[in-house]
Amino acid sequence: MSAPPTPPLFTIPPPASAHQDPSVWPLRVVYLADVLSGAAILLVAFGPSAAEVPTLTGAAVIGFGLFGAVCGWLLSRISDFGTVAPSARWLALCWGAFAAIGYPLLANRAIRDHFAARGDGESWSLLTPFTEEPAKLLGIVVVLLLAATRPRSALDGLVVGSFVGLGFEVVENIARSINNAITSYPPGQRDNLGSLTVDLLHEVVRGSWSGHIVITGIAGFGVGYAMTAGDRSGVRRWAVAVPLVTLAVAGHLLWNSHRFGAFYVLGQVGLFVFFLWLIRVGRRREAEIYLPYLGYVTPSVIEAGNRRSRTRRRVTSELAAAIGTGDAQRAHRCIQRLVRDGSGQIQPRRVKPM
Amino acid sequence: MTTEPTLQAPHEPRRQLPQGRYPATPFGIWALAVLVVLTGAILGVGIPLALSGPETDPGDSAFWVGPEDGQL
Repeated sequence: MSAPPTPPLFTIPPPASAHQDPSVWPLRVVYLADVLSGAAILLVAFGPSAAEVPTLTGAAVIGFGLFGAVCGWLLSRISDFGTVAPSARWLALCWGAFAAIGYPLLANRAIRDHFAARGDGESWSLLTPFTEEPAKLLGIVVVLLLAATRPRSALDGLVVGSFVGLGFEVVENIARSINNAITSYPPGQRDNLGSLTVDLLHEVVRGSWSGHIVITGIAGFGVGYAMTAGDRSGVRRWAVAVPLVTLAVAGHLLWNSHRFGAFYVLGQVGLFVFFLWLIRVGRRREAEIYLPYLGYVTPSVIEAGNRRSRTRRRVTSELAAAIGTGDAQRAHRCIQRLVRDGSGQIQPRRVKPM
Repeated sequence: MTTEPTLQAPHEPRRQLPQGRYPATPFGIWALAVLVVLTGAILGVGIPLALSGPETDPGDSAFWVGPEDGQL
């Protein structure tokens, strides 16, 4: 008969110096006002069109909503330690879906009408990056400051930025599907799902890896770096953040331009590869921050890179969150669960033979 | 080949990670709130108002192209 597994002895490091949370009520007010008014703007702008094609609108909400849920699931796995809380992800999603798209919509329509009156019905779209990107960028900063757990690495900024972009992209796609159906079909034949199918395929095949999720994630990485790289000089932080934000605007411009031939697609692929590289860099930095704590607590139990067990991954993330918030009892419970997981024994570390 | 578990990591953190929200200053928070409001005002009101004026006939516009005698 074997003895029940017992967690190893460990000691949580002493608490960091006390720091009073800043009062963020002005940001809360602004956030709520912008999200609600953005939603109202969208409702007024697209309500009549949506009422004209109710079936297509419902199907678009379901279709793009499901696709958004899949993308959200993928984005939530970017961080190995799950450092961006679900509440912060929802804040980012709602900002992108309402505030970041509602206000630029008013500006974009005015710009479009202005260009159309001058006989140029196309060029207005080249100005939309300069109305939409600032709105998304501000949302990233607001959400990072509102988050109950502070961002600790640039990867947190990338995740928040990607969720802002996801919310934006889902709502933009729904609106675009409604517009496409209305402009492509005569009255009486608009409420069909033909054009929606094309729009959904376009999003899955094309937009998902080259649209707002990616470019806003890149900008978010820059913002996150500027906010969290406390060991770097201010010049260095700005020197990283500004080019990344500029790259996001340039990527949006490229997306809207369709004027660079092969470089158009190559540029999109390049942006996506760069986005993946930023995730890799961010994960490395995140590991530098968290692994010493995990190693300190349970060096033989934790295997942060272990992706084979979903339970271990989840509990490891919870342990990281517990350490991040100084919740020693929760950390202890996580360690007990990790010890019980698998064979019920502490797994020794494997080392290379000399 | 395996080894026995090691109970101490080589780099033990001296303190826990700082907790709570990002330590922004009250000025920073207010400045950001004002910036958000200003951006919303520019996008939602400023640009639409600025571009809502009647189109001018390009023929009526006057462009300064240099001195009348053609010398700079």
